[in-house]
Amino acid sequence: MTVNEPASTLDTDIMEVNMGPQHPSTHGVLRLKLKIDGETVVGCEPIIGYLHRGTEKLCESLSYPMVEPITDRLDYVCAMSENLGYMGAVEKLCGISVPERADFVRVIMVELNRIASHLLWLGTHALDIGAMTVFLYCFREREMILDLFEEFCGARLTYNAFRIGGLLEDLPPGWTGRCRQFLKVYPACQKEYEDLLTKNRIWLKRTKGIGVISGEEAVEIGLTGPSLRGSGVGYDVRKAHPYSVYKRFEFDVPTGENGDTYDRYLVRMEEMRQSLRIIEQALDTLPEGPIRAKVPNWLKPLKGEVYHSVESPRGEQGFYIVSDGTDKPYRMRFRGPSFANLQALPQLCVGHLVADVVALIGTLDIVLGDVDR
Amino acid sequence: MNEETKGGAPPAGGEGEKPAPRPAPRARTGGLSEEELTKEVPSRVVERLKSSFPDAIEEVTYFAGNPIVVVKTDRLIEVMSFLKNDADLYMRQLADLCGADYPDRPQRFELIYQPNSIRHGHRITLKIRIAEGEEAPSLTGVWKSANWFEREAYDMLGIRFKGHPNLTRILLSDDWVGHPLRKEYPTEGRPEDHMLLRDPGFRPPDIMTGDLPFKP
Amino acid sequence: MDTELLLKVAVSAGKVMTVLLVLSGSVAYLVLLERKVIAFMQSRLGPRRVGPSGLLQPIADGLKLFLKEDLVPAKADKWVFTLAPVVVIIPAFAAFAVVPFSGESFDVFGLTITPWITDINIGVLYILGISSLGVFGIIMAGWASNSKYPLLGSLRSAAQLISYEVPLGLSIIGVLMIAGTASMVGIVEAQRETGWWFFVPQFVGLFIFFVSGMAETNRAPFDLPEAETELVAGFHTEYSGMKFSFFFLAEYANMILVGCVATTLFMGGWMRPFPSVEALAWLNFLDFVHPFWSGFFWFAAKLFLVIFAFLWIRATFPRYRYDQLMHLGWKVLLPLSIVNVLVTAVVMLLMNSGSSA
Repeated sequence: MTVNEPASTLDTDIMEVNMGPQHPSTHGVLRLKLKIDGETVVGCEPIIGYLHRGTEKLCESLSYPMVEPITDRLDYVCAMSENLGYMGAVEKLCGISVPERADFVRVIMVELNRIASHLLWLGTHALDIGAMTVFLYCFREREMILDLFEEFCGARLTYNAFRIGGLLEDLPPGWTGRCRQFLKVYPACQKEYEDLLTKNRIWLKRTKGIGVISGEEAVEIGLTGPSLRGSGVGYDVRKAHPYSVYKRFEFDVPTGENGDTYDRYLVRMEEMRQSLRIIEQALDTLPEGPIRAKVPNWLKPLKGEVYHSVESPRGEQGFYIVSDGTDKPYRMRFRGPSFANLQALPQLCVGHLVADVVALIGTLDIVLGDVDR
Repeated sequence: MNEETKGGAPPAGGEGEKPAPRPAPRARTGGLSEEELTKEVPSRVVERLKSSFPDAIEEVTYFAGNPIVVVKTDRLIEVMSFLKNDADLYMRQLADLCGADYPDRPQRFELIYQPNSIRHGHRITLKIRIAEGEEAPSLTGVWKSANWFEREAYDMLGIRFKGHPNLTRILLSDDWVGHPLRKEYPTEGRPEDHMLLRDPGFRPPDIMTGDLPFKP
Repeated sequence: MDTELLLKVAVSAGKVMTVLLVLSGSVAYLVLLERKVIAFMQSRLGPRRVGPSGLLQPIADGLKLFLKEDLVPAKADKWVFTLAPVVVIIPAFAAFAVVPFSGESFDVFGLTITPWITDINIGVLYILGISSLGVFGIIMAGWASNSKYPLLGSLRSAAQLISYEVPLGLSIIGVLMIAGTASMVGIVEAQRETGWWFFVPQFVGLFIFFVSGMAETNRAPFDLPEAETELVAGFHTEYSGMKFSFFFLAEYANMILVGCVATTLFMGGWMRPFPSVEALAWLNFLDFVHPFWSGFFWFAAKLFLVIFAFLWIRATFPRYRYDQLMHLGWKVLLPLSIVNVLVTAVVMLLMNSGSSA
């Protein structure tokens, strides 16, 4: 790190700058209160809540199936993961087991969504650091995934694709072929991004050694997902607490070494390849059969409470449901990975330059819908 | 739909391969029965807790394969430090912390913790119960990640944490009145009927003059 | 005597007007070119709605900027705030006075009109001096806005412009030494005499000039003063309407200026490739209209090449960080340019002593 030079003997004033809530690179309505000495950040306080919609309260007056569209709107970049997590929590609460085919389709969708989400992250992250072409390349490929989603469930962002106990509808005819087509073209596209960034000297200068956090500290502060794995901790909910049918697929959990922005970048790039692997295996072994377990429309779980978490592209997305035996959840809690990850930002920022703050917001990959809920 | 719920007819059918005995009539899930869901599962964490803190544990229940341990409020930090630092358990991460409101109970609030061991891959749900006006012990000294979670619990439920460095609202604005996740918080009607939304006496700090309070 | 003077003044004024008009037009179309070229590199289409394939887009943009409300922030220093864009744009255009756009003069009504506004013997110094005045405008803009982001942007900008002025100036010295003159026209003529363009012996100089030029014009990857994702829009965050468009025009005019200077100093100005090889004379194919147009064609072609490289780099690279930028300027480019000057001097000394001995 070249920036942590001791303060000069000049008498300098500390300036307070408001970054956001309307700022091009805070990815939504995040507001940062920055204390800067020249260009060096000496303090950072995230102020959140501008997108708070009271979903947890709202869920208390909705029946279980009615909550699902709300989960879409938490982390709108990876709505499939949110859907899967909520479905998993309710199914755990009721003890429903899902037909195999439905589980496979769910995994395919979630992994496609993971790629789409990482593409959005990569594009905006690169744009924040100044590489604007990558952004448009990423959106070109994301478009292909969104087309696949649109064909499957009719929506492109808030999918509401799954149902408690399975799926609403089976895959449309010919969908698997088109999905395979995407799998075929995608690796070459990813190579394009890597050509532009991975060995680019300016990119290396901007990301190496920026926002270093050790594995121990990262766990302590509650980082999950790629941000944690960049520090070398191989914690992936898909492996640690397998849900759905992830046990059946072979995939690696990539980890970084230095815990800096560059390693987190590499981890996410590798994760996209692993997602491709999972989708390929799932398509190869996609079983035939029913797509939905018999679940009453008016669901009334037993009295009890469950915590269920899934690995969303941003980290551990947890759902805590307290049921009092009625058709509506008594207490619904969404544990957003972005919320916990954002907590690490002040620690990462201090000592870096203003330009790095932007890179660090990007590397934590926050979605404000998930932070504020 | 309606007659189904009223009639309490047996669910449309369980899983084909598991002809479970029909559950209590209240549950309408089509899934596992109550006995199966609340079955006790072996858990190292619970065993260790029971042997190390026999007097701190109030209650252990199980649901869907997950142990739920209620501990005494004043022993919380001790238990949590043990969970975090014990080499055998090593639950280094606090995955989640949230509160729940039960207005009918004498101890109105429940705080629910989800410690998580990355090395050993086990987790439990830990709870404490506190009454209104009572202060919960803050876990910020044990886990840094508890900071924002506790602020959120304060914001949403009005639970105060003893020893928290900066217990202010986090999601709602500073002039908000009331705590939305409490059960008595109104969800219908016009805001002016409840006189809840804004405190007219509140003055936000003047941003232009730059005297922003700064508490990270 | 008096009529002669008057005529001279009229001709000069006419040339100034022509250059100003053509320059404003080319700046406007440079914006379109940039959008089209970058769109092509990013697999999109770029502007297409206004006119055939977007050709009237610059006019629409200009109209929009003219008609927009001109806002002055309440707490801004009004005079300085208004003066700043003027201070930025005047040097940007004034520097074109010494650029030779072509080689051949042409006669109108018995008057010989040279294809440059003036040819002074310190042309290169004049350009360096004038173009560095623009930084005052940027500092004024940042200061007068009375806002934090513009202030940060203008501080960055001032530091950057001053730092890169040094290697920029040093990178040219090699050329001046070989050419033996500081007149822009003289340098092009010198390239005809030596038989090769100066980028061959001075490729290090060209590289340094190009990089510093990018930094001087705040182009990516050195666009820190207006780094959109960090400082919103840098020093012109608070500007709108015409005042904003002045900054905009000045930036692109500076870009063209750097292209012109690079073309003149390193790439043979208006000359066709291999000017001493008679077999390639057909390259001046516009001679049948007037030799002026041949020179202008080659000048424009080389200018386009330089500007295309600018755009290409913008589409490819991420942005430098402030400290890295300073590092590059002072610790890499400056020593390199000094070494370049020394090596040039030594080589010239050896060659001269060899020829005289």
